[in-house]
Amino acid sequence: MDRNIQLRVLIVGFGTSEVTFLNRLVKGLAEQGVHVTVSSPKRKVIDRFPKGMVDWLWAPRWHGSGLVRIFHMLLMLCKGLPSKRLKWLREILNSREKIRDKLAALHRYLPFLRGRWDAIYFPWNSTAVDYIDLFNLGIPVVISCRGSQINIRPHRQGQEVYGVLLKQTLEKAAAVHCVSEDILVNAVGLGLDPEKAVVIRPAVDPAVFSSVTEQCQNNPIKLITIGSLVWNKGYEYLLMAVKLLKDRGAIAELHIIGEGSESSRILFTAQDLNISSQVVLHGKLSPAEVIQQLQQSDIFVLSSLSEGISNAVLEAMSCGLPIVTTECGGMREAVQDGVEGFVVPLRDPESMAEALQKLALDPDLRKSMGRAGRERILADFNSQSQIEAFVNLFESVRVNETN
Amino acid sequence: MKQTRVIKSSLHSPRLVLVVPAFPKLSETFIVNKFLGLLERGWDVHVVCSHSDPKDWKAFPQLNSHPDIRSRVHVTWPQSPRWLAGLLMIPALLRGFSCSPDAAWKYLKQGFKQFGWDIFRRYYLDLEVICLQPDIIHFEFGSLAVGRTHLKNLLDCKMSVSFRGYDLNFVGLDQPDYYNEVWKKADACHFLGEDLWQRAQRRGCPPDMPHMLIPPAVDLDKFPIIERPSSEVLGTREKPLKILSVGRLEWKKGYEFALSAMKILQDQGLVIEYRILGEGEHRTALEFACHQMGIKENVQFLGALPHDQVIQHLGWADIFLHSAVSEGFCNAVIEAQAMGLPVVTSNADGLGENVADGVTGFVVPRRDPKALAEKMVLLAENSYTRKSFGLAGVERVRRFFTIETQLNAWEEFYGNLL
Repeated sequence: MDRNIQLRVLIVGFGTSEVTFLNRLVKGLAEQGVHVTVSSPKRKVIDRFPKGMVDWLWAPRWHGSGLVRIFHMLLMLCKGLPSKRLKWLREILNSREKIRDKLAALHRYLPFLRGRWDAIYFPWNSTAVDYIDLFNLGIPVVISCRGSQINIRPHRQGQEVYGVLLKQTLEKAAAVHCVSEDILVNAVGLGLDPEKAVVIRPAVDPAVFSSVTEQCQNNPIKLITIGSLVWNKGYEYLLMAVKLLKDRGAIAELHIIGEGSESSRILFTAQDLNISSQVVLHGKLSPAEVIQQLQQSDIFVLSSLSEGISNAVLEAMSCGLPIVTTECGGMREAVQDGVEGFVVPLRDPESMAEALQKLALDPDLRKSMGRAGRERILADFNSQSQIEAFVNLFESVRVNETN
Repeated sequence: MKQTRVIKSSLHSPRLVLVVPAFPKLSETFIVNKFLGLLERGWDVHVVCSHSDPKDWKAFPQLNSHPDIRSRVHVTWPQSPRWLAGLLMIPALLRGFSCSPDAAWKYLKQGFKQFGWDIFRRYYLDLEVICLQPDIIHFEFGSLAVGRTHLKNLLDCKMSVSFRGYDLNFVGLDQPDYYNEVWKKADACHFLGEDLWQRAQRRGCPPDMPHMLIPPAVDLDKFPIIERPSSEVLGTREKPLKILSVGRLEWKKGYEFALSAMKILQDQGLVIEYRILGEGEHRTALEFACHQMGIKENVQFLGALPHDQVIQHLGWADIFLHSAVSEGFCNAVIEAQAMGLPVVTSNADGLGENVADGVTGFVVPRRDPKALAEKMVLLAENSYTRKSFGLAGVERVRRFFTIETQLNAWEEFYGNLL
């Protein structure tokens, strides 16, 4: 291995919607001198980065009229030929029986006829499953295991095929990145060899998520939580905790930032529990507004039922907020019960209310736990070391050119 | 069902128009029952809806028993695409003025003063109702009445509104004055139960609003009473406790709390089998909860099943469990009682009126798995209570929830209006 030769990484499954931590990772890699190529249907995904920083590989979606699809395929063929990978492509086609499947496979894999990369990186398990034939290209593959695609999806009825393919991808990958020890354990249960797994926890930029020197003292106390309004986040249990807190005489204001399909569930539950006046739904906010909200809050609370490891919690810690979190996913790896906040059992509003009450009644405790959280982030979750860990991961799978 | 229905209504009987979103609908059999029942009792009933699927008609043979019935169901004209609605405006005017010239003229004349040119859009939407010249217009769901209360004055008729749960629990929660015009204009309101009536008052309904509480009803012929062997204690390896829930897999049904209760039972060493009939988008969350709590082996999701299979499962079960956090009144719970099943239910909305606590089942606070588990243990250990609750349930349904009783109440409701 020679670190002087530029490392070339292809990222498949970048997606068109903005995912902050992926953007940060790509930018960080590029700044470290890695040559990053992103495959995507739309060119505009690379506009998120400074001009010329990231390369784009056109991989159109399998939709539109038949003519459009054929036209796309011809274009890709023109761009891709001549190619040394025709044998690989032929094998893919031979493995499909129906003509429709053959065409779909052709459409899917034509973009990868040319281009030289030292590693292919799938940020999501589901895309690795969708592009499973890229594993046979002879280029080492790295997959990320992040959350629901490991924790939830394989356990649903009717997902047996996904389970089998997931296992194959984990077996074929040269290395597998897990966002927490907890995800690693679960992935091992699904067929991952722990030998090739690497835990790299997410990171935050402590300069962006800065703590305010004078922590505010709100009255009533201000709780904040950030995440899509979906069932995984367990908001109903959080509202029950806020209600219990009220019954114990501690009025708290709950601010929820995020959007999703379950806003009516939250509105109804708040009304049903008679705490509507204490619950504020902000919808989706800009990153700057999120930071401002964090800095104006007293306690961050996470009621999730399943997580890889919550970025929102790390960001809140970076802002110096004490945390109350459920014992889901890898949360214990970031928050130690009684140090940076409290860790409470899942689906247990009473324990959550108790933890919230302790913090609500004790400004000094909030301050010391907040400080401990900030220090933890500076020590263990800063972005610089995360990027380096990723570069090392890609370097470690790279095959020497001369071989 | 080959009986011919006698339509007694004459020109002199009062004309009642029921407004619904779609008709007939399997999930809204109660509207079909109400329509046919009142028709038989001599009311001049019509239905106005915006959709009517021929496939659904096949599911209701009783609707095809008399040719007159089809002509009493009126589908409003298409609203989209917009240009089509615009084109149909001229035929709509012709139809209105040929059907009931006086009513149409009055509607447009008075409406113009109130709404200006917009009255023509409203006219198009209201055309079927205008042609019918009702004495009473009844909106079968609260949200249907919003934006249409002008019909009362422009057609010079009485207006009544049904509230069935969803409309008070969810619709317009973020707008405090959502129902204000309805509270002002309605001549009477119908609620499925006391709880919804209280909720309506919290949402601004004046306490002196003429109203009646009419609970849902079941057709007793369709729910045979099943004799259950009176075995002693359930929940053992030989005799597992068999628990059944029926209802769509939605968060509103509070299944997560039911599953937490199962976890408690399992931890206490009870052997249970829990079956859930129904389908819905919350299934992922529930399957995950089973996996996470380690109760996967004892819980079965059987999907949505046809009526006869539901009956079979009701016969299979020892206890009917209903854990909803929001529920109008719940027909499934009435049906379980009709078949002699003891019920453990949350107190959401009308459920506390549906089940007689300590008589036909247990009513516990909603979102409280411990309480659900505690009552299930009590029933598992006590065969006498199970049996007596079951018998009392059958009795209760015969007394309060038959279609007869319900139709009598409807006649009284509309009689008071006239």
